[in-house]
Amino acid sequence: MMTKKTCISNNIRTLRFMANEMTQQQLADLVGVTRQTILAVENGKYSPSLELAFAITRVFGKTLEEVFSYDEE
Amino acid sequence: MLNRTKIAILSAVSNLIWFILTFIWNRQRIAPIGGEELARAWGVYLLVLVVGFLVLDALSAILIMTIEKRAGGQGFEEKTDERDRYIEGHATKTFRWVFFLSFLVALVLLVTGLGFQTFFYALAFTVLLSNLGMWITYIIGYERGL
Repeated sequence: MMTKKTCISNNIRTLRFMANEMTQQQLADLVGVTRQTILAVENGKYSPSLELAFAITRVFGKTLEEVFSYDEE
Repeated sequence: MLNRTKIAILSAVSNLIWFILTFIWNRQRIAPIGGEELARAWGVYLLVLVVGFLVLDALSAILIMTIEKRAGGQGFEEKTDERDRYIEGHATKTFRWVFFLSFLVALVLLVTGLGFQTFFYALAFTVLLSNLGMWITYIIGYERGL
């Protein structure tokens, strides 16, 4: 099935890699969601809520703009 | 494939099979009946159809989660999060809209004088289509994204 991409792109995968190769499950546990949701956010299949987006940025010690970007097209 | 997608596929397929089986059963059952008994027979059929859907949906979830648990997964302890609620919201919306539109068509068929048998047939399809619409939204939501 073709994936419907959201307008929000992110570099969570890179940040996970830089954070001691953190797994999706570890990140999911830290922010309180399922691994499938982290996978969907990473692949651009789901735009996270502001709460989840801030929780993710807090894990990596980054700002929202450093993790997420809005692609206007 | 996610467990929730598997549940949605199994529920949709079992709902469709249940509809076909009960539809054939009902057609044979109502053929010799007339008058007020016919309306009651349709009522029984719709009740059997809806209760069957609910039971099959529950059984689909139990079956998939039991298989998943045996394979070393979390089974019924699998948590839900904001994405699940988001997809559920869309699925419920689809159910509501399909049910509303199909019910409207059923009512139009009734008032145009096509007979109340046609109305009941349309009502049965309303139940099926709204249910299938809901499960398809779940599948699209989890596999493709909404």
